[in-house]
Amino acid sequence: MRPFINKISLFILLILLQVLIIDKINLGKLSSYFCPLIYGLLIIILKPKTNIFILFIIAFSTGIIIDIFRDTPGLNASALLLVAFVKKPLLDLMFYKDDIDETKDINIYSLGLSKFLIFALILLFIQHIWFYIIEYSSLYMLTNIIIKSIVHSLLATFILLIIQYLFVNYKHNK
Amino acid sequence: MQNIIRLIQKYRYFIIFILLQFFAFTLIFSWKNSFQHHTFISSSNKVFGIVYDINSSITDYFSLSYNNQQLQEENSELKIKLYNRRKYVGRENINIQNVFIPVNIISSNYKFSNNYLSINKGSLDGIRINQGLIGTLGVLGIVMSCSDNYSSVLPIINPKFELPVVHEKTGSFGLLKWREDNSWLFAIIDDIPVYEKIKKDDIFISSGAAGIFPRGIEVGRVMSLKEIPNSQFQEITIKLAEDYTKISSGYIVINSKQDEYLEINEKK
Repeated sequence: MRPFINKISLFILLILLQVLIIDKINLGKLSSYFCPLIYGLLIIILKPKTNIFILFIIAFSTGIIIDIFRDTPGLNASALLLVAFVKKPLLDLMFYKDDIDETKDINIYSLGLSKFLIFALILLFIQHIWFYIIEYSSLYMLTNIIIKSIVHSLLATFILLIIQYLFVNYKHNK
Repeated sequence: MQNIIRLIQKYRYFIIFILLQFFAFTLIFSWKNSFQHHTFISSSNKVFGIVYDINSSITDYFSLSYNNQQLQEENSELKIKLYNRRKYVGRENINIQNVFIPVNIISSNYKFSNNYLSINKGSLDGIRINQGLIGTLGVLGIVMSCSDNYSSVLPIINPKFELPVVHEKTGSFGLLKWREDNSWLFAIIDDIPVYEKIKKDDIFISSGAAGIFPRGIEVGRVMSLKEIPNSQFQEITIKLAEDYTKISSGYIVINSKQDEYLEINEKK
């Protein structure tokens, strides 16, 4: 029961963090280079054995909630759905089956720091680039899209790392 | 048939993915021309609006002073337009004579007999002696001395203060004064003849004479009337428009033609 409550509170925390803090931070001219999408971090760290259908539902509903706050229906939902879809194949591609414990959540201790970072970075990059391509509705500003995606996925990975160090218990996962 | 079912089973996650993506894209591309989306999937939705509401009720305080400053600046611009308006037949002409500078009143005395105000702008901001200070509701005082960044103001509630005022309805002139025995809420108007019909709650406005205030700024409302025995005048007690215990912001009036007024008065 406890992990379930933890997940729910992380879900709410991430949404509020995204909507009320990260979207509101004002850095003047640099503002458009500081709005990483961090609401999808829950999808990344859920255990690999989670039913993919449930994963889709969580991803879609998270996206829709963010969409409601940002008045962009469908946009965030679509991007996060792609993350949920790509996650399983990417895990299979990056790791051997014996390497990871499929019944435990993905974190820096179960995958190892560098592999975890690469894994999260790839997923977040996919999410961001999909998000910006649909948002701009064209490939005309491709360099801008790519720069933004890289910067934001790095920022989001950094935030994910902070969350990991703050909330994941080392003993519990070793 | 079985093959088809097996195919669907094999690619079931992909099919669900495609379906949900399709749904998301339907939302994206039908967004701008659908009323239903506007009411359900938007932050004007009641449940999600509450979150933003709570958030803004907390964070609004951080930008309060900035917002105040902006409103003050906007008000001063509007006041410039309002008090410089001249009406001719068939057209309206704005001829800028009075400029309003927003200031904050940083200290206000009201308990003593010689009361003074201080404001947070001085000669570097273009403030000179004998310019008027008005609040958001009415006349406050006249600048008495100024340093580089601060000025002190002689308010109505000081026995040295005198200002010609006008009764709004009849247009008869009087002289606004304050005595030590009045509280900070009241002042006295002299020199209004007995035959002028003045009632309670009538408004007195600044006359525009002396070149300090533009005509039409409220000074106060009539509280009580008293005929002075053996003379043709009556003494009127007014309740001041501004409450000196609560003032925090105001505007300095800079009248570009004040020098001309002064010259004329000296020649007399």
